[in-house]
Amino acid sequence: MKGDIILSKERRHKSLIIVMSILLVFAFNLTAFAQTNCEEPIKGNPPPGEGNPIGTLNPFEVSSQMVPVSPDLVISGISPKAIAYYITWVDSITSTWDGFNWRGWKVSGGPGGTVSLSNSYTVSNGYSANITVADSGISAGVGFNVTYSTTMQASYSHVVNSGRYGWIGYDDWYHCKNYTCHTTFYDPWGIPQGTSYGNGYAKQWYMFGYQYGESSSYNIQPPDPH
Amino acid sequence: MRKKRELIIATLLLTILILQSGCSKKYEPDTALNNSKKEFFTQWESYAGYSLDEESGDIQVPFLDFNQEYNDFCGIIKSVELLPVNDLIRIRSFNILQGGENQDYKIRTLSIQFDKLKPGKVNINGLRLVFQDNSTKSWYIGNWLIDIRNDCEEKNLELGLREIQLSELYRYKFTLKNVSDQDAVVKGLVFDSLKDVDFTKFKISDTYDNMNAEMHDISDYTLQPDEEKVFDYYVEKPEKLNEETRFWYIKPFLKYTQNNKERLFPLDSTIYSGIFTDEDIKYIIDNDRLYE
Repeated sequence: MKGDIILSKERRHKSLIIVMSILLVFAFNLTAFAQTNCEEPIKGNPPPGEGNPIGTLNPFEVSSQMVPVSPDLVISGISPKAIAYYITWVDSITSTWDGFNWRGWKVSGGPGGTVSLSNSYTVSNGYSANITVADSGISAGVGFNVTYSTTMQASYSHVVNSGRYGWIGYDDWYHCKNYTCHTTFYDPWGIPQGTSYGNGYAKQWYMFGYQYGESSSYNIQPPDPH
Repeated sequence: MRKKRELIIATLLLTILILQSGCSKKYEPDTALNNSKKEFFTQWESYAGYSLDEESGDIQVPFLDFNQEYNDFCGIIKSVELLPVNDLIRIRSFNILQGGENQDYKIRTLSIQFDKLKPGKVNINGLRLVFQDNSTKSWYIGNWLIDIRNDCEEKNLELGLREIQLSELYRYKFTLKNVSDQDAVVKGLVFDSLKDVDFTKFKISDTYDNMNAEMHDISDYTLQPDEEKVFDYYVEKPEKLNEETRFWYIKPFLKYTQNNKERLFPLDSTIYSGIFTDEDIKYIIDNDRLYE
């Protein structure tokens, strides 16, 4: 009788583990955690050519790396203690294109005279995914460091027609790649606990473009170029 | 056995030597500086076409300033001259724009405004700075062909939004409106003396950023009264151009006809300048020359 109770408890325990495992696997496969560090570029009429792409990786720097699960990472409501780390791989590049982000009209001057822009600003690569991903895996898959940023220098002045107000604004141009990817989650012993499949895009800064427009008043901006 | 060991050691040493010489050396400012030079001016290939009636002209020359303090160099400049001295233009004013900096140098831009005195062409290739103690120092700044015309017809066309700076020379882009009451047949860009720069293709569209606009060989386009279009001209072999020259400045004329009469319209300037990567900095330092 006592043995039957112990057996029954063991069975219940095993069943619970099986159910929990199934839930865990399904949770990872079905739950999408959007992840992004940037604004999505807009497809536009790009300056052609390679430009000066930043953060390009050489073959020795390309590898998918383990990312330890931080204590504050919530994965589908399951304790992160069950998961020690995860690795992301890019499975395919589905398209490549060039896009831009317009930063807006930045300076104005007038009437007449000159308008000047003395600027030191940060330009960055970036990425987005609809699942939890490791930066290094995305970088390895697309061939550039998706978290790389650097400072650009620019100073410029422009003659404004008499009686008019001049405005200078600028675009950042990016080489973009859409990709499909997967992230596998591992427990502390390196045993896979689940895999998420998703997709996203990565953008690599390659050029800036300054635009100029004039208006009849200091508080009227020219129309946005895009 | 001993010979074999020596051979291995020799091979290893040779390999290390070859690897060392083959590795690209990262730019270090100290090794590039010589003769205590602390200012390095950029070299340009430029064409600046002006109508005599236009607002003041300007030349902008970025430079690297390795001086510790602003007043070691910039703060003591009393006046500026463009070389060779000529009677077509007269300096009106100058100012220095602050750019970015790192621990060794600052990137600044010397902006020079000038008045146009009469029509003609002059090839500016140098810059003389006069300091507060009346000492002078001169640099080459590349080739700046300034072309002043008095036969432009400006009132029939109007410029709208335009691209004024790109990090590399690829295209020249502007919005143009016909504000006359007659058709204007746009023929193309006019400029000269820019080595190998040839705009051979263009796009025309209704909106500034029409990604579906098709690229064509350059041909005439008739702009009707009140019609506004975005013209986007592209150069031939941009990679080769940008490899050989880092700093371009183009201010062309637009050739157009009305009633079969050929006319010129002065367009805006577009600067194509490097983004001051380590390579750009090395290029600037290697190409800096004092004016003799």
